[in-house]
Amino acid sequence: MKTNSTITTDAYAISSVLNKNRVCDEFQRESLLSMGLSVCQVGCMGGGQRLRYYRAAH
Amino acid sequence: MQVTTTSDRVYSYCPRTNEIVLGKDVYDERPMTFKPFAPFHSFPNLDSFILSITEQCNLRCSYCCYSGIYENNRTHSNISFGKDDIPNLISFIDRYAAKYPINISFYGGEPMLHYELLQHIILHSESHWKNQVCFYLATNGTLLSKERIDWLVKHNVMIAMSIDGTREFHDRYRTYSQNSGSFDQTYEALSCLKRGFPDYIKNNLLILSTITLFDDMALLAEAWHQDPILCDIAPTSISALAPNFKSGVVKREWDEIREKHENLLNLYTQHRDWLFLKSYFDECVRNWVKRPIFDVGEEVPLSTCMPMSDKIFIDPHGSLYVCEKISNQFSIGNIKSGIDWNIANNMASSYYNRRKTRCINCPAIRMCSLCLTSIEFTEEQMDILCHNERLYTKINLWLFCEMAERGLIK
Repeated sequence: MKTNSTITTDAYAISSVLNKNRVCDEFQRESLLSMGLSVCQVGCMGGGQRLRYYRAAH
Repeated sequence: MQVTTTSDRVYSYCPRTNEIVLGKDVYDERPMTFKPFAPFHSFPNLDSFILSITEQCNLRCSYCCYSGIYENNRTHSNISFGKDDIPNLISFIDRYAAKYPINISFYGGEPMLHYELLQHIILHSESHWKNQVCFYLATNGTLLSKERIDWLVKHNVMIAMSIDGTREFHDRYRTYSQNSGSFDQTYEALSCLKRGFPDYIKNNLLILSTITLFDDMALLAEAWHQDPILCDIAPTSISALAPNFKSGVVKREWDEIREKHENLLNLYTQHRDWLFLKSYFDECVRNWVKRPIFDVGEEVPLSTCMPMSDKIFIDPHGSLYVCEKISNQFSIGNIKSGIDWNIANNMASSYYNRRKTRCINCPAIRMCSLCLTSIEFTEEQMDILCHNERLYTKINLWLFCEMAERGLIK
C-alpha cells in the first residue's frame, strides 16, 4: 500500500506533466494573448486541427 | 472546473492561469475583463492559401458537409477554378502573403478530378515562387494512380488522404453516387504509397479519419490494428461530424460520455500499440498538453482567427473566406478586388460582441474550440454548442488527468 509521502511524490510528478508548458517570457505571453482567449492559441492558429467541428469534406 | 479520476483524486482547473492543481483548491473565479474590439486592416501571419479548385466530387459521402444535409452550405456542383484565373490568384497571393515560404493547399470537392489544372498551378507556382512555396493536397485517394503519385512525390506535395477505417467502416459512409463503397480505391492508393514511397509517407502523408459513431471506436481500432497496410499508420486527425442543426443537435450528458471514454481508455491502456486509439486520445488531450500556462492579467483581448490566423480559403469562384470550414455565406472578398476589410471587421466585431457576453464567466474560455465559424448559428443553437463545448472540455480535462496518472502522457 502506498504511503502518503509516495502519493505526494507521484502527485508532484503528475502535476509537472499536467502543467508542462509554463510561459515565463513576457514577449511570448503578449504574443499568445494577442491571439485571444481560446484554444486558437494552440489549435487553428498553432497549426493544429479542430477536433470536434472539422467539417468532413472528403 | 473540477474532475475526479478513477483513483479518487480531485483536480481543479483555473482558467485565469490555465493551471491544473491537485485538490479542491479555491481559485480565482472573477469574471474575465475584455479589451474593446480592435479593428484591423491586415492579416500579419498569412502564409497559407487553401484553394478549392472544384466543387465537383466523384464521391457522395453521406455525412459530407457539401451533401445538402447542412443548412448553410453549398452542395456539389460542376463549378471549377479556371486556368484564366491563375494570374489573379498569383497576384492576390503576392499582395497578401505576410510570410514565406507560402503554403498552397488544394481542396475541393475532389481536387484530383482536375489533375491537369492542379499540375498547371503547381508548375506555375514553382516557376513564380521558386523554393518559397509548399503544396498540400486534400484527397479521397480514389484517383491516385501510381503515375500520379510519382508526380506528386516528385513535386513534394504533402498528401492528406481520408480513410475512415477498414472496408466495413469506410464503406458505410464514403460511397460513390451508386452507393458502392470507395474503400478499395483509397486502400490501393495507400498501399501504393506504402510500397513505393516508404520514406515519403513518414513525413508527407496525413491520414484524416471521420468517426460517425463513437460506439464503433473499439471495433474499428482493433480492425485497424489487424490490417496489414493500416496497422503501422497512425491517423493524423480523427474528427467527429460537424454539428448539424438541420438534423438536430442534442445536448450531451456528462455521465454517458465519461463512461464511454473511460471504457475506451481502459481498452487503450491494455492495447497501447493500437494506433487508432493512440491517435484518438492524443488528439483529445493535445490542446491540454500544449496549452500555455500564464496568468491572463486584468484585461485581455478577445480576438479570434481574424486577424491572427495564418490561412485564407479561396473557392472556385475566387471568393475569399477566413477558412475552409466557414459557411459560404460569409465571404470577405475575392481574389480580383482583394479582402474587403469592412466586411471582415463587421464579421469579427459581431462575433466579438456575442463572445463578450457569452464567454465572460465560462470556465472553458481558454480551452474552447468554438470559433468564428459559429457565427452562422442562432443564440439558441449556440446555447447547445456552448453546453457541449463545456462538457467536452471537461471530458478532455478528465482524460488528461487520468492519462497522466496511468503514465500515458509523456
